[in-house]
Amino acid sequence: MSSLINTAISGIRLNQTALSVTGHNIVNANTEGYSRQSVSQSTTIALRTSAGYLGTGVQVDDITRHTEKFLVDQVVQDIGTLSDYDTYLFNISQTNNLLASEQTSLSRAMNDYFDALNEAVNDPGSLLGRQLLLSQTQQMVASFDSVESRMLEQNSSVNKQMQAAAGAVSSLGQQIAELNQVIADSQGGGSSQNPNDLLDERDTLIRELSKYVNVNTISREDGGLDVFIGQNQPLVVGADTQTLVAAPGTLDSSRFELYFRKGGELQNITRQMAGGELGALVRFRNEALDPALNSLGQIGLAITDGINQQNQLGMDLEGSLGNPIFKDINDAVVARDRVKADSRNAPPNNKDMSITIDDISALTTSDYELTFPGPGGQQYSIVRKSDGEVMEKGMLSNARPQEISIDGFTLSIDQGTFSAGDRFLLQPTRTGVGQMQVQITRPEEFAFASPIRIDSASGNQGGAEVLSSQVISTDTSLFDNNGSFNPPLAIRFTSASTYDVLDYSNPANPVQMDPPLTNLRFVPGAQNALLPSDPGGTTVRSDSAVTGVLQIGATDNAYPGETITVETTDPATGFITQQSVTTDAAEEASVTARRLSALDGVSTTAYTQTSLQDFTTGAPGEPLQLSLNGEDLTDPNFVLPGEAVAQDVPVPLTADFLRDRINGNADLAALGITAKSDGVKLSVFASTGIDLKFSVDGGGSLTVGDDADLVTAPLPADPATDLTIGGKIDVQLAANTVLSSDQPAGLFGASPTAQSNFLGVQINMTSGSGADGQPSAGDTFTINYNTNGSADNRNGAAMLALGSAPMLSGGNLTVQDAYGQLAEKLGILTSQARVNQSASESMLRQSMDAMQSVSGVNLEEEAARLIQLEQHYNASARLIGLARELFDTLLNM
Amino acid sequence: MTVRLSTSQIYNRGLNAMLDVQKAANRTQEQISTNKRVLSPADDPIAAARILQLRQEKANTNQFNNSLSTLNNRLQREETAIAGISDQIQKAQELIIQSGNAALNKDQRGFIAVELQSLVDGMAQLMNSRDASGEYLFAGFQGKTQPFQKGADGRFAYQGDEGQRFIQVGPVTSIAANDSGYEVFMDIPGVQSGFRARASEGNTAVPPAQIDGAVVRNRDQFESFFPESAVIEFNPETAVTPPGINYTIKQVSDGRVISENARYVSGNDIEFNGMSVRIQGQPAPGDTFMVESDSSKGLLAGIEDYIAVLQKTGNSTADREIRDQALSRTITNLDSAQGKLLDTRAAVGARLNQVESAKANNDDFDLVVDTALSELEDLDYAKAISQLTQETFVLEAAQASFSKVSKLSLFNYF
Repeated sequence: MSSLINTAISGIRLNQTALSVTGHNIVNANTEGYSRQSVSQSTTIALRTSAGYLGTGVQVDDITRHTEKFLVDQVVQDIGTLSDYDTYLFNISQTNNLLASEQTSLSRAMNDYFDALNEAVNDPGSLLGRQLLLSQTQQMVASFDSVESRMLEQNSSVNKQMQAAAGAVSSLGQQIAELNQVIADSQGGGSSQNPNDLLDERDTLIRELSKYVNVNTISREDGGLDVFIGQNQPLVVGADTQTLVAAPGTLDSSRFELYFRKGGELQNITRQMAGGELGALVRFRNEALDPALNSLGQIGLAITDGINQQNQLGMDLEGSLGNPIFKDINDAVVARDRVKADSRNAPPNNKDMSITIDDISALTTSDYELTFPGPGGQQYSIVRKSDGEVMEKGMLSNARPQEISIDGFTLSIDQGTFSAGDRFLLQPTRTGVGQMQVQITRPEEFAFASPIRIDSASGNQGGAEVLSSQVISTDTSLFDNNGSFNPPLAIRFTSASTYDVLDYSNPANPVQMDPPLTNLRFVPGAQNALLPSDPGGTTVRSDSAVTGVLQIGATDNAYPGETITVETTDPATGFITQQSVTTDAAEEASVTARRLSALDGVSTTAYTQTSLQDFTTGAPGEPLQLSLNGEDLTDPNFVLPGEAVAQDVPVPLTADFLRDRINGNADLAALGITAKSDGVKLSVFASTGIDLKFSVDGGGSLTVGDDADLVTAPLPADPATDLTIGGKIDVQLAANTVLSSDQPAGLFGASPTAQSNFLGVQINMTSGSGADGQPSAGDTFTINYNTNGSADNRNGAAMLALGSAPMLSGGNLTVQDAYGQLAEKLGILTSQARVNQSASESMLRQSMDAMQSVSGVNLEEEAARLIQLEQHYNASARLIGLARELFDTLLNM
Repeated sequence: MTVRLSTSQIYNRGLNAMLDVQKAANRTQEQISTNKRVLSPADDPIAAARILQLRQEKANTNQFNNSLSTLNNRLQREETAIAGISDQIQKAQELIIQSGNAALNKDQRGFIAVELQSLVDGMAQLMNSRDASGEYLFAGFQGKTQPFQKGADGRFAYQGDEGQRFIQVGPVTSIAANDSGYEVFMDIPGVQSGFRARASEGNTAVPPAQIDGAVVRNRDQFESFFPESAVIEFNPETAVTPPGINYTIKQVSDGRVISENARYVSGNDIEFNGMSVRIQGQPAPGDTFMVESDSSKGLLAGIEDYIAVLQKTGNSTADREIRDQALSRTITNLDSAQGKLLDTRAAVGARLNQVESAKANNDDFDLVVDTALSELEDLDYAKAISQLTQETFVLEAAQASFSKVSKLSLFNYF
C-alpha cells in the first residue's frame, strides 16, 4: 500500500516539476535568448521481491536545455556578418550620396566653373564675365571644401562609432568573464547540473558581442567559455578579460585605431580586427573614405596646378604677366603637411621633411609609408599602401637635403637624423582639397591674353604666314621685366628656306641673339616650328681661335682633325650614352655639321662668312682680279641673268658690283653663297658652311675679314694668292647632353661652353611651296609684347582646354573623368555592400530559424503538454485515491 | 523528419515576409513619385556613372551653345559694319567718277572732296564698331584701342594689330570671332607700291615723337628703291658739331647708309629715295622710325590720296593728267577693297552658317543625350504600376492570412 502511495507521490512530484518547467517555457516564450527546457525523467530503483522487481515510481533526472552548439555558433557568425555589412552600408551610402547626388556633386561645381570660364574667355575684355568667373572660382573651391568637410565629419563619426563599439566590446567581455565565474562556481560543487538560464544569458551576451566584432569561442572544462575576437585576439580567458579602446593613431592622430590596454601600455590590434561593426568601420575607412579623400585631393591639385600654370603663361587685363590664381600647390607649409611622423619615433625630434608635387599626371591616390627597418637609421624603404609595393629602398646618405622621387612627387629630407623603427606617413594628395585657396582678389588678374604678339612687316613679299604662337614658359630672361618682352625678336627670312632669329631691340640694327639662332632651316609648304622648344636645350658654338680664321696663301681652312664626343645622360636612370664623330684635318664645316647632325639629340647649323673692302687697283693694265670658289668674279664677259650685255668691270672694284656678280652666279647660288653690300663693304655668306675660297691676282689690294687683313694681289705674271675662310658651326643639343672634344685647339676650343637656347616661346609658321607662296629673303615677322591686347583670348582658350585635357592617371583622365570614376567606384562598393547586406540578412534568418527550431518555445506544444500533464497529474492523484480506498476497505473489513 | 517549429518562428516568418513585401512596395512607390528608376547611385552603379557622364556631355553642349550665341552676336555686328562700308564705297566710287567730269571747276571739285572726306569719316566710324561689351571689333587683340584714328595730317592710321580671336564651339572646333582691321581694310593690293611710316615700339622719347605725312615725291626713284625698307635712327647729339638732334637713314636689308648724321628739324619733310616723311617732336637718341615699303593700299588711304589730289590740282592739262591717273588708280583700288570686303563678308557668312549648323547639331545631340538619360534614369510607369499592384496584393494577402493563422491556438480551448 505504502509503496503504491509512494509511487503515486513520485508521479505527483514529477508532474509538479514538469508543470513548472512547462510554465517556465510558456512565460519565457518571448524572452530573448531563452532556450526551451524540458524534464528528463526515469523510473526510480525497483524493489526486488520474490515476485520479481517491483517498480517504485518515477523521478526527475535533469532539466534539459535544448540547444545545439553548432547552431548557436552559426547564429553568432551570421549576426557578425550582418552587422558588418549593415555598418559598412550605412557609412558608405552617405559618402556615395554625397559624391554622386546631383545637388552636392562636384561634377556640377566644376561644370559651373568651366562654364563661367568659357563665358569670360569668349569676351576677355569684359569685367562682368571676369567678375562672374572670380565668384564661380570661389564657389568651386567652397564646394570642394564643403564636400571634403562632410567627409571629414564622416571620419570623426567613424572615430566615435569605433569608440562606442570598443566600449561595448570591453563591457561585454567583462560580463562574460563574470558569468564564466558564476557558472564555474555553480558547477564546481560536483553537481553535474547545468545552470540553464545562466548559459542562455551568456549566449545572449556573445551574440551581442558578435555585433561589434568577429567572435570565436572555446569551451573550458569548468563550464567557462574563452572568447576570441577579430583574428583570434583573446578578449576573455576564463574569468580574465582585456580592455579594448579606440584612440588616436600614432601615425595619423585624426584616424582612431584599436588597442588592447594592458596597464599603461597600448597594444595596436587594428589590423587584427575583422567582422562586425569594428571590422566594417576600419574597412570603410581604408577602402572607401581615405581613397575618396585622396582622389578628391588629386582632382583639386590638378585643377589648381593646371589653372595656375596656364595663368602664369598669360597676360592679364592690365598688361602684366599672370600670377597664380590659387595658392601654389607646393607652398612650403602645405608641402610639410604632407608628411606625418609617428608619435613613437625615437628622439631627437629634428626631422624636417616635405613633399613637393612634380607631375600631376603621375600621381596615384595612394598614401605611402616611409620606414626605417634598421639596422641603423639609414636603411629606408618606401611602400605604396594601396598595393603594398616597395617603391624605393636603400641607404640614406648624410647629405641634407636629400631627395627621393616616386610617382610624380619628391620627398625631400631637409634635416634630421633617423633611427631604426621610425615611421612616416606620406600623403601627397590627401591635402589637395584643403590647400585650394583663391589667391587673386581682382577679376583683372585672369590672364586670358597671350603675352606675345606677332606682326608681319608691311613690306613682306612672300607668302609666309604665322599659324600660331605658344608661350611655353615665362621663366626665361625674355619675360624678366614684367610687362615687356625684352628683347623683342624678329624672324627674318634670308631665303625661301632659311631664316634668322634676331634681337630686334634696335630695328635699325637687328643683331644676333646670344646664343645665335641663325641660318635655321625652313621648309616651305610645311608647318615649321621656328624656335628651339627644349627647355633644357643648349647651343655650343664653334667660336674658338681657329674657326673662321682667314688663311692667306692656303687652299684649306687649316682646321685640325679631332674627335667630337656627345654624351647624353638619362635623367631617370643616370645612364650615359656616348656618340662621337672624328673629323679629318681641314674638313669643311659643312661636312662636320652634317655628320654631327646625324647623331641623336644633335642638330647643327653651319655657315661661313667674311667681308671684303678697300678695293684698290694695281698700275694701269693690272686691275685686281678676284675669284671665289673657282668662279671668276672679274670676268669682263660675264653677263648677269636678265641682262643683255656684260657689265663693265669697275676700276677699282666696288662692293655693289661684286655683290651683283656673286648673287647672279648660278654655280655660287648652288653652293649657297650669297653676298650683301652696304656700298662700301662686301659681306659674303655661305649658308652651308663650306669653305670660302678666294683667289686674288693681277695687282692692287683689298682687306679681308673683320680683322681687315690687307692682302696685296700678286702681279699677273705671278701665281695667284689663295685665301681660305672656314665655316663655323652652331650645335644645338637636347637636354642633358654635353659636347666635348679631344682637341683643345679644335673647333670648339678647350672647354666648349653650352648656353641655354630656350626662349620660352614657340612660333609655328607655314607658307606656300610654289615660287609665289614661299617666303622671300628679307620678309620679317616681329615678336613683341602684346601691349593693350585686352581682346586676346589665346591663353584663356588654353585654360579652357584644361577642362577636357587628360591631366590625370598618366594622361588618361580629365578631372571630370577622374571624378566620375570615383563616384562609380563608390557606387559599386555601395551596391556590393547592399547585396551582401541582404544576403547576410537572409543567412541570419535561416540560422536563427534553425536555432529557433531547436531552442524556441512552441506554445501549442506547451499547451498540449499542459493537458498531458494535467491528465497525468489527475491519474497520479487517482492512484493516491485508489490507495486510500484500498486502505479504507482494509480498515472497514 | 518533420521540422519542429517554435512559436516565435511562426511569427517571425510571417512578419519577415510581410516586411520584405512592404519594403519592395515602398520602393516602387518612391520610384513612381520621383519618376526615377535609379534612386541612389548604388541602385545601379554602372548606370549612375553613365548618367554622370551624360550630364557632363550636356553641360559641355550647353557651354558650346553659349559660345555660339556670343559668336553669332559678334559676327552679325561685323557683317552689318562691312555691309555699311560696302555701301559707302559705292557712293565714294560714284562721287569719284563724278569728279572726273572735265566740266567741273575747282570749287565744285572741292565740294566733292569735302563730301568724300565725310564718307571717309563715316567709313572710319563703321570700322571703329564695337561689340556688345564695348570692344572694338576690328582692332585685332587691342580691343580697347580705337583702331582707326585720325593723325595730325588729317589722315586715318591703323592702330590695331593682326590678332584674331577664336571661340571654341565644339570639342575640336574653333571659329574666328573677328577679322582684324589690318586684314579687312588695310591689306589690300594697291595699283602702285607705296610705303608706310611708323615709330618703333621701343622708342623712349617722352612724349613720343610722331611720324606721318608719308608720300611718294618721286615715283621713279621710289620704284627703284622698292621693295626695300628704310629706318631712320636718331644718333647721340654729339655726332654732329655743334651738337644737335640728328639722324641717320639706313636701308634695312643690308645696313647701307642712305643719309648720315642729318640735322633734325621738327616738322620738316625728310626726303630720300623719292619718299617724304615728317617727324614731329623731340626724338631721343636711339629712337627709330620705320619706313616700310608696302605693296598694299588701305581703303581709307586710297580715298584720302585722291582727296589730296582733288584739292591740289587745278585745270591745267598737266594737273588734269595727274587727276585722271589718280582717278583710275583710286577706282581700281576701291574695286579691290570692295572685293576684299565681299570676300570677308562671304567668310563671315560661312562662319554664321557654321554657327547655325553647329547649333542645330548641338540641339540634335542634346536630344540624343536626353533620350539616353531618360532611358537610364527614368521610370517605366506601366511596369512600375503593375509591379506596385502586384506587391500590394501580395502584402494584403500576407496580412490576411497571417492574422488568420495566428488566431489558431490550443489555448483557445482552455
